[in-house]
Amino acid sequence: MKKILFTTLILTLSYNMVYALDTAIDIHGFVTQGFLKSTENPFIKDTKDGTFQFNEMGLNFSNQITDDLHMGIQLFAYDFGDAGNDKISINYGMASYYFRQWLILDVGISKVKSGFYGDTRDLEMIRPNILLPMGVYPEVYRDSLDSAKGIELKGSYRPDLIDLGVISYCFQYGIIDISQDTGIGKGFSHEFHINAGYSSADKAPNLVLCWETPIPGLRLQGQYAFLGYNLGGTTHDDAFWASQKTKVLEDIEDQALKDYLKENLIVGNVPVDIDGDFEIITCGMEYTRQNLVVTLERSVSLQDFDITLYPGLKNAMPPNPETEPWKNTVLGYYYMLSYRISDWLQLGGYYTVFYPDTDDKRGNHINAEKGLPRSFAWEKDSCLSVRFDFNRNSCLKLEGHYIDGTSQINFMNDQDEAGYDDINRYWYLFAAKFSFNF
Amino acid sequence: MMHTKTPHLNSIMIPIAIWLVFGFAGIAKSQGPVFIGSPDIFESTLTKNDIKDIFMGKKKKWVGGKGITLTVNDQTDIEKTFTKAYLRKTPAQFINFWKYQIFVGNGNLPKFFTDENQLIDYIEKSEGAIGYISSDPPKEKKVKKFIIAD
Repeated sequence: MKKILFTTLILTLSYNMVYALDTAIDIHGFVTQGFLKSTENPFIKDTKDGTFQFNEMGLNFSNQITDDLHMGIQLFAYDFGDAGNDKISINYGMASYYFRQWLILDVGISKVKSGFYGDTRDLEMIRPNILLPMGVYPEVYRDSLDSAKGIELKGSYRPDLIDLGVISYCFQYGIIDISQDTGIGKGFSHEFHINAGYSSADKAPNLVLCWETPIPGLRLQGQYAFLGYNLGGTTHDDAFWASQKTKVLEDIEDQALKDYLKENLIVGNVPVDIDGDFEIITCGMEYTRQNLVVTLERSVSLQDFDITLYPGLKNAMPPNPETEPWKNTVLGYYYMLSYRISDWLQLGGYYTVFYPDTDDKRGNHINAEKGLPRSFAWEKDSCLSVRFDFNRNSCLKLEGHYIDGTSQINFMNDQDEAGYDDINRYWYLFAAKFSFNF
Repeated sequence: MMHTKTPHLNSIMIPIAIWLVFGFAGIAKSQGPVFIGSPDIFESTLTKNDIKDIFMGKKKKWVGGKGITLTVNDQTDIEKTFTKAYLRKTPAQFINFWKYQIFVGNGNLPKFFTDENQLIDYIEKSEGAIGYISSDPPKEKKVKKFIIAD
């Protein structure tokens, strides 16, 4: 019902906007509707049968209050399988004060800058492809890293004396809402077999530097982000934690103690706390020459966490909690190319790679330690897309993916071990999407 | 020997002459755009980088502190010439750039005009407005014509 009301509101305002162009408040909006179909594996819920749970809608109001002050707010809702579910949220809502070209202050809720295109994920209409390259922009993080509440300093500087191009920066500092129901919360819960009870993120700094070089059309960009994160709950009473217990007991030399603990140590359904941080470093290059755009981008995420387990003992006082460090490095990159053939036709394509653990690119560890198929250690996605522009306000995109690997589908579908036998290393994904904006 | 050279020379010179006449005419036709602004703007000269920074939303105020109001001449030929020569973008890339700006909260969309006379009227009556047209503005219009420096 909310979805219908929201869509009606957007379409009504779109119609009325024609008569209100000269009013002080600018109103813009967009509606998209997509369709996803995959072979072999479920990309998101129900994609093997084909799903329409793949849409976005947004509506924004903005006003240039004074020459220095601009304010705007955007309401947004999306559906992506189990995520989003057309729940209306504030995509951004901020006041922006322009001091100088090199100093602009934004306060409020703003879109999180992430690589070249991270903040365009919701903006279907401005890119040639439907899905962003998942090596650098995993769909699983969408609901976690969309917006931040806090401050943002940004600006650009062009040296006068010598032509060095333009250097621009954006520094964000604020809170990102990462509940246990978001992609990151679900991913960690899945990784450590936890029923999550709480999840929180610290205030996170995010710095993006971009250099539009003197070479026409070439820009280089680097990003550093730091995010403290804490997740806790209770462990599953399952084979994963039983194997952790076995590993701990292997290190005990006292046979009597080992036998005692084997019988009495409880590691299932006990409290666990995971506390640490992500460091994300992204760099990229984009080259535009008339209708051709070529982009290369690479992202590394360093994950450094302490896992504290509060085990129990049968008929005895519980032992002291055990804390183990856990480190992991995630790597992703892509090569992307797009070419606009005419006003109504654009072609695009990319090849993207994602490794959830750079120490296990072949899946040996994930297979031996966790019993998962090796293909969960990587995802290599080759994508071709075609975009048809009906006019400036509407377009249709069609897209095909050939994917080797399954590293991102387990987070998205809460895939349990029982379903792993049905997972195939090679699979196809097809997407179609209509997009309208005003 | 001369008989063989003269026709050969003509065969080179004639196409060159044709190119000089029609080529220059073509260049002259594709020159532009002409940048105009509201009469209250202090600046008379803008560099190509100023134009780029203004139309890409980086520079938002004039020297005196007045806010810049952007207008876009939405006629295909002049828009194509302008975006290519000054922004190194295609019209589609330029439009997408501004869609990105409004949907991430970075400002308001420029005012688009398909009628050049309406654009000139708007700039004449507005404060701090800038735009581009295909030829010099009518003399009776109180708009400023910017000198563009490299």
